[in-house]
Amino acid sequence: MMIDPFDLEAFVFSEGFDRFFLEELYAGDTRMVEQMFGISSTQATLSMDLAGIESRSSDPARLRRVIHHAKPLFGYMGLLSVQDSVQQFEDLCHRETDMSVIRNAFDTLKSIVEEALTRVRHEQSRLQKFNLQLT
Amino acid sequence: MRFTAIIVEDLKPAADILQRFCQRSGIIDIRAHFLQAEDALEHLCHQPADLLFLDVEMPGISGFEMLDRLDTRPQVILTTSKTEYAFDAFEYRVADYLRKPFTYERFLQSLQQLQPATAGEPSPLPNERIFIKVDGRLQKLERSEILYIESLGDYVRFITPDKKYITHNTIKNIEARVEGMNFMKVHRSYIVNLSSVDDLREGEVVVRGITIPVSKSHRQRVRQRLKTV
Repeated sequence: MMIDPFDLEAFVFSEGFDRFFLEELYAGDTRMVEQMFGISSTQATLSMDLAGIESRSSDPARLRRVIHHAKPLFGYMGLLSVQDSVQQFEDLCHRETDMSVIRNAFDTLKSIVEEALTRVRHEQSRLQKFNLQLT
Repeated sequence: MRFTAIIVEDLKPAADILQRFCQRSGIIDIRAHFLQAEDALEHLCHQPADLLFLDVEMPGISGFEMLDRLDTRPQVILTTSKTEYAFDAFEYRVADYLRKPFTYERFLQSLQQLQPATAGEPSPLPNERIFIKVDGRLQKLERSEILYIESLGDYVRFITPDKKYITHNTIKNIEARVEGMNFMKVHRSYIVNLSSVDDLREGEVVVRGITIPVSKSHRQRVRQRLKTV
């Protein structure tokens, strides 16, 4: 069956992804979505690894910079609520000086992000299968 | 109306989407993409562009530092994931401020803010006045009423005939902002409005009865500029 590549109606995003935002962002180009999910999730994983290293230091500003850099990646994956969680953690790094408080919050954020990235990989796999049908 | 543009963005997905939006708009011709501001500065020296899509926080110098270093500034659309830069964006008179990730519709709204421009020509700046943040609000100052500007470390004091205004900024930033507006840095802590200078003495100028030091390194240039005013 031929599917119009610019008809995102044909691909239904799983729950948790902001479908309308993804439609606006990628104009229904599911190949682009697949590609961006791949790039963004790889970069987000690297950034979280780096943030993990920084969280063991005593400089919240450095940790904040790493997290700040990663933040929009979740938006590109249609995970606006995760992006909000990252923003909240970034704000915490800005105002909190007690690293133990920051580390606890980072552990919570890390769990949220890991769960989200698992969902992204699953969605990427669905997109890949969908895109294979397009030609 | 078409624009040549460069992108300065260290986040690949953000740059990819932006390039795609530019292509889709049909009016933006992306000439180059840089991951660091220093490389973009070098490029713009040789190949001016009409428009600069600029991230703020990047490795190396920041987007604002890059703007400070540009002699001729193209129109600028800031792309950042932080909202706190809105005031700085306003101060730098950028055409618009996009918070990442942004939609195509929001991108198009940004393009509507652009003025027709020719590569290499600075965008028209409202030279008659500047805005400074004082006690949490924006204070408009006509440039003609500013007598001189004084550095107070991380703060800067604007002196007018009637009032003094203190704002959180550095003299270096302010210097870049008022350059070419008949203002001149005469000392590491002072920028004077050359039109307000009443008297030029050895190592100092007098503005409305107030003596302002002129450092040795600036003396000859001050003399030259005052002759031409």
